[in-house]
Amino acid sequence: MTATLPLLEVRGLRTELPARHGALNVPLNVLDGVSFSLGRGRILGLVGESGSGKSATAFSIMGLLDPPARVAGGSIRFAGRELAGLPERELRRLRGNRIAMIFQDPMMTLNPVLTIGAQIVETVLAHARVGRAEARRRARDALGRVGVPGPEERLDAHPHELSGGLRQRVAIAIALLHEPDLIIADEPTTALDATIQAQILREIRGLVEGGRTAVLWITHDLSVAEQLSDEIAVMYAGRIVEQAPAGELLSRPAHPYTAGLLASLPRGPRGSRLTPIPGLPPTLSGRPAGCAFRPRCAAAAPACAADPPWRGRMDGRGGVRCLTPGPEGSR
Amino acid sequence: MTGSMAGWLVRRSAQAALVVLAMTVIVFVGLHVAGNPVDILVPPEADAAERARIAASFGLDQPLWRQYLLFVARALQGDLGRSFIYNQPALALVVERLPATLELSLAALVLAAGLGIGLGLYAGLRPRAAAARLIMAGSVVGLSLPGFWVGLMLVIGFSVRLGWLPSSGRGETVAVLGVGWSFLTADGLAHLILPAANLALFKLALILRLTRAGVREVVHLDYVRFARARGLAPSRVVGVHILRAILIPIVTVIGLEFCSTVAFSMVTESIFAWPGMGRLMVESIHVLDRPVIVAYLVAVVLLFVAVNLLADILYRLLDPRVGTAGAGRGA
Ligand SMILES: Nc1ncnc2c1ncn2[C@@H]1O[C@H](COP(=O)(O)OP(=O)(O)OP(=O)(O)O)[C@@H](O)[C@H]1O
Ligand SMILES: [Mg+2]
Repeated sequence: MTATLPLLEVRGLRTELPARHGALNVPLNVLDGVSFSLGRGRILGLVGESGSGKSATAFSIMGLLDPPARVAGGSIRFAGRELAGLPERELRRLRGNRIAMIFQDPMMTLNPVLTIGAQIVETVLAHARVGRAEARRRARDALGRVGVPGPEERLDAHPHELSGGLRQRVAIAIALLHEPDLIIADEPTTALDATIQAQILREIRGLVEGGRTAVLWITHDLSVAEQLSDEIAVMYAGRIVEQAPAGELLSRPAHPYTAGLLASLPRGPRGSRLTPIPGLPPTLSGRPAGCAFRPRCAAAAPACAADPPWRGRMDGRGGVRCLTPGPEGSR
Repeated sequence: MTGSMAGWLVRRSAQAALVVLAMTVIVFVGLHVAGNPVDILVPPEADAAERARIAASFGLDQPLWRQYLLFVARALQGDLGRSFIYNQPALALVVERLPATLELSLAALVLAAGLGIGLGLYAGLRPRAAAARLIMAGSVVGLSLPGFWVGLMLVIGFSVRLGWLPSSGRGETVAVLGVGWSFLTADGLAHLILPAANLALFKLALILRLTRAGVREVVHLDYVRFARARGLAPSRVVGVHILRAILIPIVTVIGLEFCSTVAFSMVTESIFAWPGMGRLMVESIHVLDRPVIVAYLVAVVLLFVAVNLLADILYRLLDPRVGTAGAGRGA
């Protein structure tokens, strides 16, 4: 089933904050060997607690890390091209064109002093050789496609004149302008209410069903990831600790961290106890060697002090990084 | 927006009228305390009758309150009196010198804003570059050196020692719209450089630091990142998205600095023998030429009002949210 090359293949991605002249003089690994792949027509959910490195993964792929953070190792292959170390000019041609991104807070992603139309038009003009009139027509059509009512009038509105849901639709319209191969969505529905969130999730599904586009959907909400994704990757302290088809990951988690996340979710019969994972995720500078989840893990063994190897699934659709995986670890 | 603008205009005009009124009272009382202009106007060998005749011809024989009321009555008809010294309408004298001062102030501001914003953008976008650190260190020097001392050093360095640039007067001028301008001839431009550089230095440092601080703040905002994620060219990200966001405080400072340049141009105009309003004011204070002093101050107040109005209009153009939030931010 993996006859064709995946659209996006990330291997051993290491993103670091270089050493500073300060308290700590060692580089810190924001991402410590992140690997996953994503094919066209698929949605990969990337979940994990705050600070686990989800956004860092997205920005590493886009080449938009805030300096001094930088990609220090590994490879990011997109449609057969290596993105790590690609010159800025080349990356810029891909951004907003072949790879589009949607951010968390629609209040913040649109420039408050420019009209909606100006911001869509400039994105059209960044990648297409068309005149202003044609760009404006495309802008209007793009708004219509994502269900913005009265698209013509909205073009002349400023972001503060639109509701949060409409603003996020505008951001999605911008992302879809050039029919990208890959959409990276960094918690795009977190700031929206449940109905609008459901609508947007439906639309994203519809989009992917065309079979051309792949979506990397970042969220810390496992239930959103479950509704939407084909596969889910779980991040912890800068690494992917488990990846599996969505249904399986939720019904039979292999990594103790995934199991812990599930147990802390309000699922199952009403009134069943929620058990939060004991302890806190490590800080960037306080990550333990070996398995970073070890201090919080009930099944931790002395051997966990060494880096646990990645055990791939037989079907190639994920794997787990744990020496003592849960009941399904042997699959 | 037009409605609130008209209301603002009325309020601002009323304020300006009050300021002018208070200012004229202060000038009348202040100059009365400072000395009697008749002593200066009358030749030392004149007798009492001659003295009384001259005093009466300027209305200086009247009690001060009556002089003031007479002044107000005439001022309301646009007549600010005649200069005691030149025996010409005081307002005409000031207006005649206005273009020279405006030219010098504008040249200084264009220099300061152009270089300040340019260097500030660079230092903000590349904060760790050696050149950026050098620029910032230079700006501290620019802020702390006293203007008159810098002026003298410029004269000594570039005119006296090197002989590169003239240090006195306006040079050759070309008449456009009935007034002479220096910047249109090579000789006039050469004369403009040193005084403009002298006036610009402090402003340049101020605008540079303000721009850098703004950029540092704004580059991390989501909408700037989103602009880059859309694949926009760096020139557009910086020139439109970053610059528009930081321009309001810069416009404020440019407005204030323009006012203070005009108001304090006396020092620079004296050092460089620039025939502007400032020098006229200094000369008029020496000889207690009250009508000219009053006319000068009225002109300066009106200029301040006009600059503030312009700044307020700019705010509304720069940020569509300003107009809807009620009264403007102009001071
Ligand atoms: N440019 C940077 N400078 C300093 N720290 C950084 C930088 N980029 C990432 N980090 C650090 O890397 C870690 C991972 O951050 P990241 O934003 O990827 O987390 P996240 O999983 O997206 O969390 P959240 O759910 O809160 O969005 C954090 O500890 C963050 O402080
Ligand atoms: Mg994040």
